[in-house]
Amino acid sequence: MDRNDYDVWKRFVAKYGITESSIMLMLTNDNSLLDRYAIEYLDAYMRRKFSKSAFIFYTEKSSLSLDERHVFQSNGIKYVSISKEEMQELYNLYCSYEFNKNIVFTYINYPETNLLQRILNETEINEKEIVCLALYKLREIPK
Amino acid sequence: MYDQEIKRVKCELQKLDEEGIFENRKIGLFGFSDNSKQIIHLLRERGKNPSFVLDNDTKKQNSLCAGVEVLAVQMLESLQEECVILIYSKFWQEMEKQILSISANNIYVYVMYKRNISFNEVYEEAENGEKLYYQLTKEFGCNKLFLCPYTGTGDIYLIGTFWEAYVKKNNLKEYIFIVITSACEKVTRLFEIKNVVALKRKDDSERLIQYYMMNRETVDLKLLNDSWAKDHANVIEWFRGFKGLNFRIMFSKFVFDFPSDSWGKHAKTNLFCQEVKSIFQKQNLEEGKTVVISPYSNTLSELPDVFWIKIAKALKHKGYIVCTNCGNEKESEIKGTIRVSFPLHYAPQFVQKAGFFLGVRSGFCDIVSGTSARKVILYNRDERFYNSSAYEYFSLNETYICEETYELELDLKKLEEGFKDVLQLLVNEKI
Repeated sequence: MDRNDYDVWKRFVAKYGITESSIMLMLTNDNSLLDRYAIEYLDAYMRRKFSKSAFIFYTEKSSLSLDERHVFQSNGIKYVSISKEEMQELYNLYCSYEFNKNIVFTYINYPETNLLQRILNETEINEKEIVCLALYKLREIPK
Repeated sequence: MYDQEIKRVKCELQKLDEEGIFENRKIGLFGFSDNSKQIIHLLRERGKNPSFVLDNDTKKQNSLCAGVEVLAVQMLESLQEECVILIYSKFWQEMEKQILSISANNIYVYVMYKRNISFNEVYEEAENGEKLYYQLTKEFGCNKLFLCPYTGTGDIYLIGTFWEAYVKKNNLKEYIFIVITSACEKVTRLFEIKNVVALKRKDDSERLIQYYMMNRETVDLKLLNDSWAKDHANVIEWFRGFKGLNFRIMFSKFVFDFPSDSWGKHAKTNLFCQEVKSIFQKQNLEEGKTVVISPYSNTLSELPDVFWIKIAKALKHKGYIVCTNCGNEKESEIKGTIRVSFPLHYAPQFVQKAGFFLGVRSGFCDIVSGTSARKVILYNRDERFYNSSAYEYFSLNETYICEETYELELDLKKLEEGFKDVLQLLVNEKI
């Protein structure tokens, strides 16, 4: 890692018009069910963050169909397709430096200290609970 | 908050105080957290007593945070008096927005959290961490680091109980084991842990972590914690207490990769400890007839002094010698009891010899959990720890295989009833 690595984020902000209050959900397709719950509970996360707009970034190989994206689409949420490499590059920086408090990645087994895959494999905790408690830190599962 | 950060917050509080910001205003904090507890203590040092702590978590509302009542944020809507809300949280942005959304002109908000940490600052932190990393690896001739970045002595004890099995499982020959306080270092002495280093500055542990975070593939450092906030790639903290994941399971599973049903091995107690013997002689304590009371806790809430004074009086009346374990100068003995102070690695021997132990759940309870002394551990019934009650998460009997250990959740509003139960459990007598 060197000092120029931060440019990855600066380029991302400029390219997609990210503002200070933008929520960014990065769907990694590591676990498609988890990605779906992340979309389903995004409004609860937005309420928690007092934000009215969000970006959902997904990779070209996302398991979400165009129809599904349409169903989930609502006011203030913008879907943007990016390359897997671009998402990974941004996450690599994020793992070193939390450049933004409003960004959530749905990676579950990288880096080594990301224990979400193990949580799924070795406990009774499910994808919905991971989204609400771990990724969005909502403290409880909204009813 | 550590070293530099505490200093910074202390200075900010002093500035606010000198500017008269707290004058004739209620003081509140936003967020039930260790940081809020630290700020409450810093305010008390200045003679200021916060009136409330706000938290959105309904499970935490109506409990106590360092003795201060925890309330819902909505209470601000009906608050007539002027108040100052202090925020120290990485979620400061939404907290500030939430308070500002309550259109009241009697509320002043101060964000004490360092708002934006630049990449350059973080990079510099990592560079300092790198220097320290090379210094340590050079000194010990190995590059495998284990880091305990917390002050919790109970966490170190729990780590110690699994350490032998972990070393064996991973065939570890050489490593450096880093802690951040001398108290934690004392606890490591109870176990066969090699190359222990107590960092001189607590901030250094954060520098090491930042260096690791920027070089995850090449730096061989393992954090001995289930979910340490600085490493934001690990997001499992809110599973603490969820679906039965208690203190022991979170560590055995997510720190050591052992199955959920693994139990650690207690430290061996040296019953012929000369230092303990001389403290007993000096203080006129009696073997098997002394109650060690431990009223202080960093993580969980404490009980009012009147409760302890009453307990101590009743025990003395029954012929027991009562002493208070005081870990530092700030901790004073309960009125009417003998002040005792000893390094933590003598704690098991001390309590074993005393015969009886009564304390609020703290790291000290972990350290003495392997003794056969009769032990009563107290919890505040209303206190939460993440997704469970403090008792469910930290229960000593669920953390270790313990002898003679009784645990009691007290209703702070009905301490009179609790008082009777405590005495009955401790000395089998009705008062």
